[in-house]
Amino acid sequence: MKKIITFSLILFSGMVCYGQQKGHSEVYLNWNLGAPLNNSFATGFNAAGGSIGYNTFICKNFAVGGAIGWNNYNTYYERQTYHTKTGAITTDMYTYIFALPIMATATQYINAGKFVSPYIKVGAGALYGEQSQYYNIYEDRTTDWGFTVIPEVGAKISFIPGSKWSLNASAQYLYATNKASVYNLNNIQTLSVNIGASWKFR
Amino acid sequence: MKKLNRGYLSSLLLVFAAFASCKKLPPVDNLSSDFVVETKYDTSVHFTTFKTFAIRDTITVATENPKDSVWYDADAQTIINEVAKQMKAVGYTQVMPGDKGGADLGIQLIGIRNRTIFNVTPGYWWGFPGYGDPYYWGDFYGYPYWNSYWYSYSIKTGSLIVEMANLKDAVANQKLNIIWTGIGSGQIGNSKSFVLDQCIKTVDQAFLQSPYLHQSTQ
Repeated sequence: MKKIITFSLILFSGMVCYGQQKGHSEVYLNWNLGAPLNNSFATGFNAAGGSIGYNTFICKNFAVGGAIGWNNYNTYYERQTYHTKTGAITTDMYTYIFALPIMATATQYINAGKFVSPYIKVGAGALYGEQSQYYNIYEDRTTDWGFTVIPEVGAKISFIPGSKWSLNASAQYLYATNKASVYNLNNIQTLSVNIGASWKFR
Repeated sequence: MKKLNRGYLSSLLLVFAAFASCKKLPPVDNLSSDFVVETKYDTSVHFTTFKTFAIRDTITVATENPKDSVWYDADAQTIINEVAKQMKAVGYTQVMPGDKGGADLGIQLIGIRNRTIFNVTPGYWWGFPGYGDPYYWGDFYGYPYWNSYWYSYSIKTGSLIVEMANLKDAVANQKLNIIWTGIGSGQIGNSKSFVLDQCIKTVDQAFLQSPYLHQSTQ
């Protein structure tokens, strides 16, 4: 966790306004495809995520804003026996994680060109999480809140110079402090890619 | 002011539309209908110290019908016999219940049948296979199903519980300690043959996942 905060602070500290031109604002919508990294509760690639956000440029290459994202991860486990200290349980089941990060963001554009504008972004905020097990007709669910940090690298791609529309492509790492001890979940980490579009306005 | 209100309302609706559609549950109707089988036991007990068992020849029943009390037909006997068969298979000897000290272990079964009631809002089924997405009806991308009321539906569920009491030490303990329990639970529907099949599978699985449950000669 300390490493992630340190890395994020380094990213933030590198974000500078080297042009004092207050600019436009933008809204964006991304499709998020990714996988959890660190737990066996829900594993594998899932494509049922997204994010929506708003940025306002406080100078030419630096924007601040906010975003809300969502991710769904589920895994099916064949019928098997799980042994505990005082017994055992046999069933098949789905495990499911729902993650909803709500965050403030800072975005630094680097060498923005006519067509491609690479950027680094850091989001920080809260993450609402749900962890569920579905078996037969039953559901066990826990909910929790945690602190989240989401560093991201990507690029905006404009096919027509000056267009209000551009495509987004990025990769992001999510770390959240959410815990669910009943499922032996100490935090949430995911690695994902975003594909989407943004619309610029003044 | 009117423009501001409309804009504000539209924004809220857009945000709501986006996030109402973002939770995608797993396809739970792919789950097996086999009972969930759970076993629990008293970890301080050494099951190898017991030699004999007795089993009650009827099954206690609890349902929504207060007149239901005992399950004793051929299906019930089949289930009871399955428990006895499994006990003999792990080395215990069946004896008749009777005088104190007649059996080391006493086994009885309980059947529970009831309705589980769920309260849901209309559109809850969005995301389930076969339920139409909003765009199925036309150009309604981003529009969630929504209403302010809710309704209930019910599913018939059942459980078979097998309890094992320590009779051997009952006098010394001044109580009948339940030292092992096997529980099978799940949706049962209306098919008697399905219920019987699930009860037999529950008994077999409960013994299978309890390797400590055997007589010393095993």
